[in-house]
Amino acid sequence: MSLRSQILKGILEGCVLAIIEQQPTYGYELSLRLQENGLTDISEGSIYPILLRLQKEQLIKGTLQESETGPKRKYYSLTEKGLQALDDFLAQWNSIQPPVENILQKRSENS
Amino acid sequence: MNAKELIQLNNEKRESLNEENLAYYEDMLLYIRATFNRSEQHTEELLMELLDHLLDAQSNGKTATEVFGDDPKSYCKEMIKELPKEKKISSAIFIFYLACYGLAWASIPYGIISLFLDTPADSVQLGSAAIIVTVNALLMVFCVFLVFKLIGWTTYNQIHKVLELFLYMLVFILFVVGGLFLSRSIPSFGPAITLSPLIYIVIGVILFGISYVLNKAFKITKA
Repeated sequence: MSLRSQILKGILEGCVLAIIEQQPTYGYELSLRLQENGLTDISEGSIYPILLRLQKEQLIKGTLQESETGPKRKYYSLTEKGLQALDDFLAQWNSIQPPVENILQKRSENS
Repeated sequence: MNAKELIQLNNEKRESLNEENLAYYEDMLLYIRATFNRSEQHTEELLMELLDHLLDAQSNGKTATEVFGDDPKSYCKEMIKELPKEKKISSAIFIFYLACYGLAWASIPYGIISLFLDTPADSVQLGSAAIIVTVNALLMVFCVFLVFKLIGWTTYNQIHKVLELFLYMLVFILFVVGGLFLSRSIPSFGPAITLSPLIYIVIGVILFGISYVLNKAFKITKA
């Protein structure tokens, strides 16, 4: 896997954890949330490998529940471990995001 | 909901897909189900999620390609990689069930045919007979494994239907000819006994009974 897609994956995982933290969510709803926030380049289906991996690492857990409309859905919620992972992600993101933005800012000033 | 109930519900829900989405989805379903060392429960839960998602997307005018991308094979592989493995004990029960079922199907017809041919039954030498039975059971499990592999392989490789049929025939021929060849090439040894045709039928019925109970207890083919 290229570095680029690894970074993207890590960021996407962080976003998925953050959305699930707000309230238990099922797959389709989750993909809508990502798109509402502007992540439209990412194909909807790419959340499923991520959801599977997060479950395997026990960061989230899925339970079958009745949805307001339609069939039973698998709703995902954060585990203790998942909450910790989200905190870690946020800490890492906060240490990377400002310097990266600084650097890119300079580039746009120079050009 | 257990895996069998999910499969049934999946069959019903799938009918709401349009032609294009159904074709795309069923290929994914075949490909993912054909990997048989993954937890069946988790596999069916995933397939149900993907189906629900696709149905939602379809009602919003989207196609399966837009939702899951234009490279379903790699996409499926990515998901299969993350699916938990089936427990060893479940696989062992499945293989044992298959062996009992297969041997029952061999034993009963053999008994019935011998009954009608009215020839004195051949004597059986216990040592070689035990090995022949084991070898044939293993060969059957291997052939079932091959069929699973074939289903997975033919899903995303565009091959002619005739060639596909030929490959399945090949597995069947391997099973029959391989079984005969192996049975004949094992030298006879061990104490000899003569079994009447009726004994074969009784053994076959008992094996059917075992496979039936296993199936009921572990929900192997039925809900």
